[in-house]
Amino acid sequence: MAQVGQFALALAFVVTAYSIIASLIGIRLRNDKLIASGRNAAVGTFLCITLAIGALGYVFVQSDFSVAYVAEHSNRDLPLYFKIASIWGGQEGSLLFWGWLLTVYSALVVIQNRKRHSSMMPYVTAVLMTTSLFFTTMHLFTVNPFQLSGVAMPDGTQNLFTPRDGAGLNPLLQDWLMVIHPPMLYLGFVGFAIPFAFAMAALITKQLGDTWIRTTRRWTMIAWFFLGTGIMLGGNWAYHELGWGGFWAWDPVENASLMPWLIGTAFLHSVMVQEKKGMLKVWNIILVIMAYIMSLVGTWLTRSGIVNSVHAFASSPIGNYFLAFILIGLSGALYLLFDRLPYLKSDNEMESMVSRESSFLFNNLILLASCFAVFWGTMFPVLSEFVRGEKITVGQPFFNRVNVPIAIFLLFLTGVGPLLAWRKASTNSLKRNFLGAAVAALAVGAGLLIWPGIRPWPIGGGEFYAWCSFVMATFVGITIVREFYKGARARAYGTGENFLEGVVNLTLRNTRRYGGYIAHFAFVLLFIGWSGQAFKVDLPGIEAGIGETFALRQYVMRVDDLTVEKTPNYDSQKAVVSVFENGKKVATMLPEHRVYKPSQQPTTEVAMRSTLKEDLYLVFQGGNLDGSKAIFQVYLNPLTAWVWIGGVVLGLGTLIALLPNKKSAPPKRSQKPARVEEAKEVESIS
Amino acid sequence: MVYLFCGLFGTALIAIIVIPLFRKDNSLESAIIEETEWDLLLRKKDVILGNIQDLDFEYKCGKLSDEDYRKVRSEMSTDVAAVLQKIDDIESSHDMDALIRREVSARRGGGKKADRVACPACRAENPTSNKFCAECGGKLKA
Repeated sequence: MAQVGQFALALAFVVTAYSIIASLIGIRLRNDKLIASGRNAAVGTFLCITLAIGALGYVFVQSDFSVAYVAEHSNRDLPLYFKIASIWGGQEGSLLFWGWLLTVYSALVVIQNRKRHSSMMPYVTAVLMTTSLFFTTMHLFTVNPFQLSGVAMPDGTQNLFTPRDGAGLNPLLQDWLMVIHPPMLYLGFVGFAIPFAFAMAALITKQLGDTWIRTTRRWTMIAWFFLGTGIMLGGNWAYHELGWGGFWAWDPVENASLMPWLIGTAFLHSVMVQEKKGMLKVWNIILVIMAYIMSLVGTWLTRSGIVNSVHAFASSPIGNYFLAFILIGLSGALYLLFDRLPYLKSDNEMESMVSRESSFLFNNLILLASCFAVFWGTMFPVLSEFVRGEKITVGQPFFNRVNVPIAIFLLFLTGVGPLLAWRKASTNSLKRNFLGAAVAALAVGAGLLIWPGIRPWPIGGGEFYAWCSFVMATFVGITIVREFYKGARARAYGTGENFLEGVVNLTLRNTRRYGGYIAHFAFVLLFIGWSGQAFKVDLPGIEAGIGETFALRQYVMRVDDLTVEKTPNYDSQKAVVSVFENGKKVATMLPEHRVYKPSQQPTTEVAMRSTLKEDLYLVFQGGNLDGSKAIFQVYLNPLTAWVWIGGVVLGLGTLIALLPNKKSAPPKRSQKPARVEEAKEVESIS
Repeated sequence: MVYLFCGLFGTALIAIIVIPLFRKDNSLESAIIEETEWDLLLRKKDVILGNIQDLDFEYKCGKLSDEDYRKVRSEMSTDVAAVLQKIDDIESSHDMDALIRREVSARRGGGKKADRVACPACRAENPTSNKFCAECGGKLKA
């Protein structure tokens, strides 16, 4: 089957190259037959890479260790779903997976637009296929997943042999989230190729109105949705698998996924200014270029091993090729942009600093500042090594110091932006929209000083930011709820719908706006969850034998039993721990310490008692030196559940925003508007 | 078996790619520029009308003061009037690009018989929305 995979890759290489050439010559000669052939070749590339990835899946399922990649990332006793997930468990397979997703997107786009945008599509195909060609070249010549197992001999030849069993999948990746987290993240990274390809086609054909934006805005949102979901899943994986009590560590690879997400967020907002007002045209193209380039940078960071990271399981020497491809892509895109600047004039000018368009611009600048700070911190070790010869790593405090205030200001804009009018908002309108919410938020802020007694000083400390975040979350939460309330009420006057119907219909008739509000509300929840981090406490390295207890805040934990379990894939030590809250038993927790057999690598399986108020997080680190006691680490993480709830709401909001708007039905004749009914009642009484 | 499979796959793939080259018609769709001034103006009109609708709704929700609402709405109305004027100018001139685009969009939309009107001068069929014939430029309606 490895031969089939190899054949499919070679065929993909030829077909992809043909697709580029046919599309470009076809548009040059205005030959629609050739263009159609190039388009079909793009679908052909998808078929080839699908066959290749199918072949790789097959050799994994069959445990065919004659293929080196399978021998390195799987073993016979691995459960089936992990065998399939092993496809993206290492360097070669994950790049093939990336390339495959690109061909999936490309095939969908060329089929969707086969009868539309005829003058742009050949360029779109060419740009997408150029990226695909780069990946196919990598698959074939640098990181081939179908390389056979063997030992390199001193004379340069390879002595082939098939190991009896594989080395196994990295134990940290043997988690159900790892089955879905990488595909989600990759769908996000790769998805930004679509708006990029359309932006390039628009620049080349000089059709720089809003056609490319209308065509790609859904694709951008889909990419953004997957990237966001991937990031959330990654955070959740880190939280329950890595056992250090947190979900985000500003690890370079986490940052790599955050950067394109931040730029994507900026683009989703600024694109509205272009659609509504014909402004920010150059800016939008820059954002699309950056989102795509950052996605490639993200993949490069993840795959090249250039920075130290928890993701070091996937590193190789492809860094230079990737860097060259990124730089060529960036220079080409920027050259085109500068050359076409005269075609990108704004239709309108900013009329006031207090308007919705200016709030979008602020939001964009701040998101980009945040992205730059993350980029700077992530690349600093590389830069410092280049300049001073030593790698200086920038730690979490740097990222938090810069990004926490930025994030809180962004939350503020989330509340303010949607309430400002387009063009210009007068003081009167401002007062009408903000006064109530601002007073309520400050009242909550004052209340928090009394209960639970937050002390927001010194300024710049953890509790200060948590307090600011709670106040801002209240403010934004109120403004969003009020938007729904006012909208539903306005509808009710016209249609006679009840409030709930009003909210549903309001949302379905303008999915983008109200889906957006739901996404904003998700950030209110996320900020509440993140703020909990300021109050976390832990009990490090506590030793306890059977029957012994230890305590953290109101919780007392008693070790009831310590057992050992052997499975084909790993040996596990398990602890049975009873948890008492204020003297009453509330849970039995079962943390594990596993040692995976093929790799002899230990991992911890965290036990957690999660409530909306806080998570009790128990890590079993194994036995002490003489084996008489177990070592535990306990964390109490307030409000963390809200992070995951926020994540789900964010996904929901984005999915709603992706729905097409429901068309307006004529108002119900039988049901008279509420106010008319009321008037009649009054009349009859009098 | 593996070779046979690869051979069949390869042949099918080549067929998919080559078939369009033997098509009879060469429709020259790719020569159509989508964003003529006329197209852009039509979209701009739609956008401004959409903006006015949004503004009305926001006013109904009580988010805007009377003064802001009146001012912005009158500005938007002026904008849309200017755009409509430009569209009219283009349509009443003999701008062939615009006429071709309209013809193409009418055909794409299915161009039913009832939506079409014959030119009194040359008998060519035109969409009913046309004021002038796409073939001879003659006036279609009184």
